[in-house]
Amino acid sequence: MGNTRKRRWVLLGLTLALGLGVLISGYLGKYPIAFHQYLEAISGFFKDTTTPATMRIQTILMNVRWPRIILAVLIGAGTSVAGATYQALFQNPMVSQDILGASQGAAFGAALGLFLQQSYEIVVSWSFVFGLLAVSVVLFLNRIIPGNRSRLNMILIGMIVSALFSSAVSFLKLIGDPTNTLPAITYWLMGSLSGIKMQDVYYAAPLLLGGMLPIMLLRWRLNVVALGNEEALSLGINVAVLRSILIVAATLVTATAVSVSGMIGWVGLVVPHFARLLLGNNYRYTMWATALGGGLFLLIVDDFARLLTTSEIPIGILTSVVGAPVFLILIAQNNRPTGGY
Amino acid sequence: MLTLKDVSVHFGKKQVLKNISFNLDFGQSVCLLGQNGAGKTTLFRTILNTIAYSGQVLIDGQATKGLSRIQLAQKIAYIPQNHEVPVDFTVFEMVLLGTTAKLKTFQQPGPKEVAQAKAALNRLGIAHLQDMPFSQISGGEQQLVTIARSLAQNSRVIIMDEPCANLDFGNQTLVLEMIRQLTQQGLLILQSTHDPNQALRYADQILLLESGHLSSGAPKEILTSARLSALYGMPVQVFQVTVDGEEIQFCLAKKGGLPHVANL
Repeated sequence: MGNTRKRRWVLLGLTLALGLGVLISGYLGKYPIAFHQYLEAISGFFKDTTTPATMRIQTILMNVRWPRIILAVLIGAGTSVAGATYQALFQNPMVSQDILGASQGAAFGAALGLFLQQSYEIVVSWSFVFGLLAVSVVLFLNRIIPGNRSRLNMILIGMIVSALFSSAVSFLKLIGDPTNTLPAITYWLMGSLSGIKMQDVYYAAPLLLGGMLPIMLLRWRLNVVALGNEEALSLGINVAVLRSILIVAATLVTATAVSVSGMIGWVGLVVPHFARLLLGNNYRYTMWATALGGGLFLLIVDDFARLLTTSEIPIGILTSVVGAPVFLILIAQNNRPTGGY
Repeated sequence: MLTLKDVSVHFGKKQVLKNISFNLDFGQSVCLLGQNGAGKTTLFRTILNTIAYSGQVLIDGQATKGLSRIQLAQKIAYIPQNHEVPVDFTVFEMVLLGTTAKLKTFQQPGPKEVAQAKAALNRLGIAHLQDMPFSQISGGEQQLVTIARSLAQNSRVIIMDEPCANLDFGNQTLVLEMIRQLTQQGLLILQSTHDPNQALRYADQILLLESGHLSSGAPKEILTSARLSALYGMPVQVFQVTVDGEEIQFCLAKKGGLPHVANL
């Protein structure tokens, strides 16, 4: 079948591109490193003896560039996978963690943690709890509000819940100390991967990977759930249990991403859409394309964020610039009789 | 054999199904008729164990209430009324989804499942459609694809909610003929329909739901002029003709038979 071959090439291409992207991103940076020095530094990790110059570069890589690259890839992949999961669960290609309020809920939880100057664990757990709360509120309202449960309804309810949590964050900023907590919350909210240390990787990577794991394992069943409740039940899926597991997993990824890097919008909406354009709606393959593509996308955008201007641009601003027009195209497509989803 | 014993369903204080009992053997095409709101979909949901009910639903003597979703899926397949497809899979992927019940939780479909899906497509003669997007084939072909999915699911009972709604005459005939062939091969297919003529022509057995009460029997016994007139609240007459040596029954509503319309 022609499809199988195309799939193989797309996934192989994305994997290679991601590997190459990681390698090149390590080379790029404000501190100039010659390319041969960069290669020496990398090969130096596998040797016993190194020169002081190589060691200096290795320190930069280990402490500054790699932590950032690793988290850019993991957050990009995780956010995209979580976005695709929400889209399949709610049979709606126009939802994502930003639109369902999960991101804003998670942001409020994290902001509360920052405001009260809590430890990293507390920030992440509050972020998770409030993210889950926001999604639950949206689902609950969508269920009890009379009328047809259209795709638009859920988006509107999501907007309302997002707005509520956003104002709660604004309130925290209002009463926050203008010398430390206010700028911390403000800058972090714009979404940025600057200042990430290896320590952050140790905390966040297991949570991001741990959230993605069940989604990747259950991705075939996600196809069935995307058909709708009754059909999924009759095809032998315990919908309630599967849904809960997947919502918790996707929200854990979202909350972890938000607590590390703030609100990096649009990624969870746009990347799954492109993955579907490439490989179709079967999540068995598309979920891999989503993960790889998401990692690659955020890595590239983050390279622009740190190199485009002398002072760094918050990455959330850049993803919006890319994401907003794509969302517009998505709406236009969705109005056609045979939408992409 | 699909058996219902004394099944009742309440929505709040309203009793939607009242002490329904029947037996359906394999190898039959069964049509469920009833007015809008008579409880047809509720009856299907009861059989599929997706709503609360009292009484018993048995398949081959085994109560479905005790079965897990996976076990039940291997006995009964369900095809909802043709609706807007939320996700546009290819025809092949759509059929492959039917094999999910036999997969382990984290398992992906392998060569065995692929073979099963292809066999189902071949059995319905729609293998040539397999790479088409589901949304871009005709309504009749979509119904055949969902039937193929039920075959890949390997359950011996298929329940279809108005499979012919929104289909043109040619596609209706295509689907109904296919259903007849499959029931001759030993499946039990239970479909709801609003067209008594389809039931007269294609059903081996009729279930008639009238405000929560059910009667069942052969088409000739159940679908009489008197019963149909009472069911739809207007004069209906059943005719019998012989076409190519085969006795065929069909019904017509009487022209001008509704006094309040005639007097306008």
